[in-house]
Amino acid sequence: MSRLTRGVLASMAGATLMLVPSTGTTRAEWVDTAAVVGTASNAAAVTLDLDCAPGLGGARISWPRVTSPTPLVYTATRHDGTGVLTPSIGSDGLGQVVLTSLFDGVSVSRTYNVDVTASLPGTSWKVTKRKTVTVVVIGLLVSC
Amino acid sequence: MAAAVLLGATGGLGTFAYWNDVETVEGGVVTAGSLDLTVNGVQGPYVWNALQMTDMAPGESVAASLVIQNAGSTPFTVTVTGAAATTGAVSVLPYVTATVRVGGIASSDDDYPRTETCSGGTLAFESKLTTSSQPLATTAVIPRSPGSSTLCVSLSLAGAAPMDVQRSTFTPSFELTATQVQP
Repeated sequence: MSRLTRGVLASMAGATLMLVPSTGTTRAEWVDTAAVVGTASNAAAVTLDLDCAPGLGGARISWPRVTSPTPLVYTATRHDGTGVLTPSIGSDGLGQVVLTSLFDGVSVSRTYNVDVTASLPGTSWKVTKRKTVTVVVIGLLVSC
Repeated sequence: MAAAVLLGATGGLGTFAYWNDVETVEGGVVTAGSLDLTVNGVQGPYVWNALQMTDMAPGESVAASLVIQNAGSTPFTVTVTGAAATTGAVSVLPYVTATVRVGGIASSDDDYPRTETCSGGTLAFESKLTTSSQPLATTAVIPRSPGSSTLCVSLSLAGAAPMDVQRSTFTPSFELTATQVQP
């Protein structure tokens, strides 16, 4: 090997060393991942679907009772001065208020507004719906 | 003359034998370690059915905990990110607070109003989940198998949640990443 060749090689080695960082250790990290998928939760719903069935001189207002997450509290009010009605559970399992003796013996025609409210206990969530019951011809014809 | 020279050349040399012995040393088997994360004993993806509540009322909360286990030979830490998807006309997410406790355990409550909570461990996150993934927690080092930790998450619906979020749903999702601890 000539002196020139040795000189060139020595220079190359020096250059190579210059390129290697003094702290040039590279560490790889192992990783493992796991996906966790939740199941859907839903907010409750306070619903009230009123139905009305006219009868002789009266009517029955009913609704499916909501029991989840807890039984809703139902109240009913008749807006003719007679005040609060007491809901009950019908033989068909529906919530109900039964209006009787709607004919007052004086008026030819009369309209009654009944408000039913469903409330979720312990919360401010509630919904109110109204049914209007009309009595005509001395109480024989009832519509709602 | 020639024969005498030959005898003279060889007669004083003798014969040398070399003893030798060979021992074979068997090397031990070198096996690379492993890094293996399991969630409740499952490699993943894991469906977290316990963290679910039907017909959630304002003020109610659901909680559940997971076992994060090191099933490998390499100690690691686990980072947890999370997000939630929602359906419904009005998003319920702004009214759902997530609480994450590393090392915590969940309580159970089946009676209305259901208030399940996480207790113990270290509180790592207490805020709203969003549709975008965000960091929730990082565990301490979980040693090699059978090392483990727990992750407890509770989700509560605000007592002031408006009625227009009724029937809205939310589905949380989490990503757990185990990263090797450098020796």
